[in-house]
Amino acid sequence: MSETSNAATSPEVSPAVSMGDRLASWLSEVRGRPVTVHGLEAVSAGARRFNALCEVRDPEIGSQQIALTMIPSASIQLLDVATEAAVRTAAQHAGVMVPAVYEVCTDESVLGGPFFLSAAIMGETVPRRVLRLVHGTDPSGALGQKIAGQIGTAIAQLHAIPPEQIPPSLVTPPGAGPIDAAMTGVENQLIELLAPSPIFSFGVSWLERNVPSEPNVACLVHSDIRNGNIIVGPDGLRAILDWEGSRIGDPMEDTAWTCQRMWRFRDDHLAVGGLGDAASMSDAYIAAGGHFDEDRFRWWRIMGTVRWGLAMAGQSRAHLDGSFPSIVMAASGRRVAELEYDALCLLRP
Amino acid sequence: MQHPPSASQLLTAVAELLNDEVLPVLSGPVQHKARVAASLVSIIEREIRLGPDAQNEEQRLLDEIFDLTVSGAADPPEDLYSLRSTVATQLRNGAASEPEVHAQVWERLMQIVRADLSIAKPGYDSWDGV
Repeated sequence: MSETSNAATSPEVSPAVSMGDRLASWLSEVRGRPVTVHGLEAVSAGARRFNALCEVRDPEIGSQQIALTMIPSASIQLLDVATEAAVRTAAQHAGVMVPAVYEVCTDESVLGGPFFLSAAIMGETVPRRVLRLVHGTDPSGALGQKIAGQIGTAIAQLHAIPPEQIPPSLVTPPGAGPIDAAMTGVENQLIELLAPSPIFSFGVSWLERNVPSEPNVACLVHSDIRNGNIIVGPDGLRAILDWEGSRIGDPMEDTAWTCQRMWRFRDDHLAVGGLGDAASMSDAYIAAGGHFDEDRFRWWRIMGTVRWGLAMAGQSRAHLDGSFPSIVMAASGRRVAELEYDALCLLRP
Repeated sequence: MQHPPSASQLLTAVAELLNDEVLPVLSGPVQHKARVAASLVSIIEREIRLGPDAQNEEQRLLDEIFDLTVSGAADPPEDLYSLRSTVATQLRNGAASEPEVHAQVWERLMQIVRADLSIAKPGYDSWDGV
């Protein structure tokens, strides 16, 4: 039996057997040797993800610090765990800093949902603490610029994965391509608004008039690389997290998303998550072999802002129609103006 | 008519209670929700004070956008929701595509959102870069 924080109980009452114990017996079976799990501790439990940290003691490997990512119910996953694990592994082979995946389990009966185990990377992930760590460690700003560059390098490495190495189970967006899918998405969001927004209507019209051509090569994008989905230490970027939104997309969607104002947490003059300048990110992206397209980048900045603002409005609707009643969701309705303002700043004549 | 304090003054007192006394003794998800609630109380306090003027200003600016984007001698709808809806449809259909109209409409939309931000997030518009 393992020494998890929850005392082991008799096997007859299996739901009461601790998660650590269930993980230990599954791992022992998979690895073919007695493995124990220690100190399993939940670090975050959202609607879509349960994340925990633990130590695994393996007679052959020794002590491993492990991150457990579980999807509580298979029905609400954006990406099945096997595909997400394959994406992470493809990214890792391409040189992207991503926690190595050790095991994948699609059998929901083991822990109550599909899950995978990956290397636990130490460091800071909470955005404001990331900024405090980075600017506190190096007030000159050089460390922040370095991290912005490391983000640019990582994105270029991800985008360089050749199409034949992209996991085939990854969903290709419906319609003509990622640009078409994004336009259809905001059109639908605009129609669903409970109150009309002249500003987002103005924005969607601009997006339509300036729509770029579909990218001519299938490209693997993460879709949510930002301050908040990275692990940072005093030495710089350590890992990129949360690969559940990975899909086939336009490379400039990823570069633009890192620069949105909502990831800067008041360090507004530093475009990349309050860490460094957009040029630090784009220069590194180009140096690592990426093709940086300024016009597409700007289009995706506006698309991302409008789409996020419409999503905020959608959250307040989810509170009102009872599908997700929550004070946090309700409050999103009073955040729509921030995104309207950001969109107008990007649309300045 | 209610005896003082006013609604706005009462909400200020509720926000102070939440921020100074309730939040420090909470933790975890409940603390997060209570912080959101405290912030909403402050927003509503400003909305009571500044909302009516902001709406009048929005009506005036949307009337101007209506005149800039709707051809003919039509009168703009009188209630704010219908006016906003009509203007939104016009803008979605590209009525502000011409660079000059785009600039004139942009100026007015910017004034509308600044008034909204003075209620929802004061100071947010002090940064006007990208």
